[in-house]
Amino acid sequence: MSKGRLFLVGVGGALLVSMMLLGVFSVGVYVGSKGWARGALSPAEPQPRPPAQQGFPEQRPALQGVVQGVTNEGLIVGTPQGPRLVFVTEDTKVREGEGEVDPERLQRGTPVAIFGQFSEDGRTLTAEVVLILPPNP
Amino acid sequence: MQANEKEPYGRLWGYLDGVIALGIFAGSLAIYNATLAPSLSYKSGDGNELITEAYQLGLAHMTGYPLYTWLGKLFTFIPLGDVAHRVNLMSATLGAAGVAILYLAVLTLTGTRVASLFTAFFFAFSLTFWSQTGIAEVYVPNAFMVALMLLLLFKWAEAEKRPGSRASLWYFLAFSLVFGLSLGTHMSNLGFTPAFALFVLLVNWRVVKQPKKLLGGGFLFLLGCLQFLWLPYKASNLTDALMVRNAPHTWEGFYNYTLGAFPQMKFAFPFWALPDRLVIYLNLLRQNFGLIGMVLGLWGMWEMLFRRTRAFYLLIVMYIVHLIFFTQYRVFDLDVFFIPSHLIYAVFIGYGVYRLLEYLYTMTKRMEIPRWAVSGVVALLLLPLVVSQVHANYSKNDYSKDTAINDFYENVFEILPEGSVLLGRSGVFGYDMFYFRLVYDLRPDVLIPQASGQGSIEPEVIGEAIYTTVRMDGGQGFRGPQAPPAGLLSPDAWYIPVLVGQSGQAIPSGQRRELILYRVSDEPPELAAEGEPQHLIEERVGDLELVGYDLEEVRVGRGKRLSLTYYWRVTRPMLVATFLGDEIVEVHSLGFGNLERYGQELNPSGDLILKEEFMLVVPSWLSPGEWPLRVGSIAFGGGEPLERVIELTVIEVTE
Repeated sequence: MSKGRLFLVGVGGALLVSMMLLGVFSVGVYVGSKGWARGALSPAEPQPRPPAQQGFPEQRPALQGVVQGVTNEGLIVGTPQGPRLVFVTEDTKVREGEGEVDPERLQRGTPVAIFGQFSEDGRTLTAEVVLILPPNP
Repeated sequence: MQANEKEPYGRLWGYLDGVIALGIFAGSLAIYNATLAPSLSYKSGDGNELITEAYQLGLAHMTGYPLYTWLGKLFTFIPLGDVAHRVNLMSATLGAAGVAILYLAVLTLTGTRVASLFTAFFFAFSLTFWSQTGIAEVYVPNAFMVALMLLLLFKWAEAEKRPGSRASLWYFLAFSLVFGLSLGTHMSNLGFTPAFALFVLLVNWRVVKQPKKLLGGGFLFLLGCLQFLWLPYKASNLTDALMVRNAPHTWEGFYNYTLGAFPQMKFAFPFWALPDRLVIYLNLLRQNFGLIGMVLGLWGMWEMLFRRTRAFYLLIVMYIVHLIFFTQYRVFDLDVFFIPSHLIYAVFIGYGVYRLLEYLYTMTKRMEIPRWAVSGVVALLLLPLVVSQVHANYSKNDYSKDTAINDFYENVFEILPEGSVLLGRSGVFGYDMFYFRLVYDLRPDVLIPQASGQGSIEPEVIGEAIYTTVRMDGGQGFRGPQAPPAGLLSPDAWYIPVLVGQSGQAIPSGQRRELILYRVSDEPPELAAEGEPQHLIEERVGDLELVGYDLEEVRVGRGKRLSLTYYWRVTRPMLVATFLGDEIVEVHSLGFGNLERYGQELNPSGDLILKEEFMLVVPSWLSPGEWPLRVGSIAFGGGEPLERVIELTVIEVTE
């Protein structure tokens, strides 16, 4: 193997090893902070269902589906159109029925309805209220 | 360099490979066509605008997409369905063509038909790519361009190994042109420049000493980029407030509309968020290729590093650049932006399969098992992966019944009174309505101020009947993309439902947007029933009691409307769903959003019988025949999702 080729293979190998380490590290950080049970690594099938709207009779949810994962920015929600990222801020309220609940209640497989604001260009959704729906029968 | 680096990039295609590529194109197109949306769709937020701008050769939202617009215009001449159907067909056609090109690209890289065929079909029916082949969007045409660029680069590298080959020059020039043109399907392709430059230098660094080739390539790249002159040429046609603010009239506007577009989305996450963002990507990758595909791709990367080092660098740099950019992209529908990186990953998967075959050939050679038998067994083992892709993703990507928008608006334009005003969403997201005016010039007597970007309206119009497809009494009603022209609506106006289309959970592919036409009125609706219903029911439907209903006719044409009135005894707020057979044709909140205010302001006494009077659009995809009309209720915040459904009568749906 020529020096030039050796260099290319070496750099490429280092790149691949770095990529794999970064991937493993990311999964490790994720699992360490959120656990396997709530991971985004086990995508649930979207299970759309009508919205629960107690407390929101005049407003329809911007999005509904099933939580596939919880990230630092927000939720990955499985919808019939595919996974969607919903940004959650400190002001976002998580409710179940009429009461406010701990955001920790949001776990993988939880059916939710998202009430919130799309950005002006309509491409990002920031949740104002995440409503936990009863589980599908 | 090692011996295998001097090998040609696979073999020259034979007649058979041309036939196979055509077969892949035809097979993919057949399935894509079967799942194609026959009308406008909410599956993509931009699709309805892209269709309309293609038809009228206008200017699409940032980054303009000139090539997409022009190709879309060509497809509008196909005499099939309506204009939306034709532009949707462009995605199916270019998707199928892109998959066929992917076959040829992987074949050029590996020389193995089994691996190339598998790669093509495995990618063709992956969740995200397939999801974009049935609607008008830029992602599939862009994947076609990316696949074409890869093929041309591989063919160029192959030709470079034949000294004096004229083909080398032609492939290089063709690639340069396609690269420039590809910016008109997605500007992010510009990020591939370092990968392309590195590959060219690794294959033949002496290119830098060939000014004719370099200048020719540069010229053709710029020629492709000249499509963006379309932007200032068409800038005056923009109506969307956000786009108008960044109109490409000036150099600054041109930059803001192209390279500087959507700055709030780019590199939107801090460094510490990287693990989370990568996990999101890995999750999407798994959804598209499964764990087996992920492992095959990873193995393909390693094998390619040692055996096709130059191709490895081309693909891995493209892949990494794309990942870095889009894992940091703050956008709602992130999955579609990864389609080019999924395509590149599919090439790695193909290479992994190729190397697997090579190892098996070596292992079975001593046992004198013919190569074709090994290939056949591997093909049989790989087939279930493709079949499972098709099986898992078909229903998710089947938009063939997605006729809701066309059905709804065709009825809207039939029933609006002469000279009325029609409001809805503005800007890019208003093209579900604007399409019918801008493409078909339906009902020119009806004023649609938002279609022309009118921010204000002549005083004499006020007083005409005003209709809207978006309630404008909520928080978002008077600001943002849905803002009506100033001064047109009173904040205290009532929104009285007139026509209800298939919407919410009712649309087969699951889009959630409501399709309701409201009449805007200063007077409240007559929610309290005074007379008796035509048909008495008096049955519990969940927590509601359906007292009865009125129905003008039981015979209706497909895509036409039924006049329906429900009479409810209300106990608590609920959703109501109307069915034809087992198909949910509409879902609405009881009272169409007026119930709470009605109770507060009009304080109806005693036992309120709620009257809901509206016209229901019958989906045009329903087959003619008898369909039971059924109604059910859905509880808010508890209980069974669909508490009870009762049958009212049988509707005869005609052609």
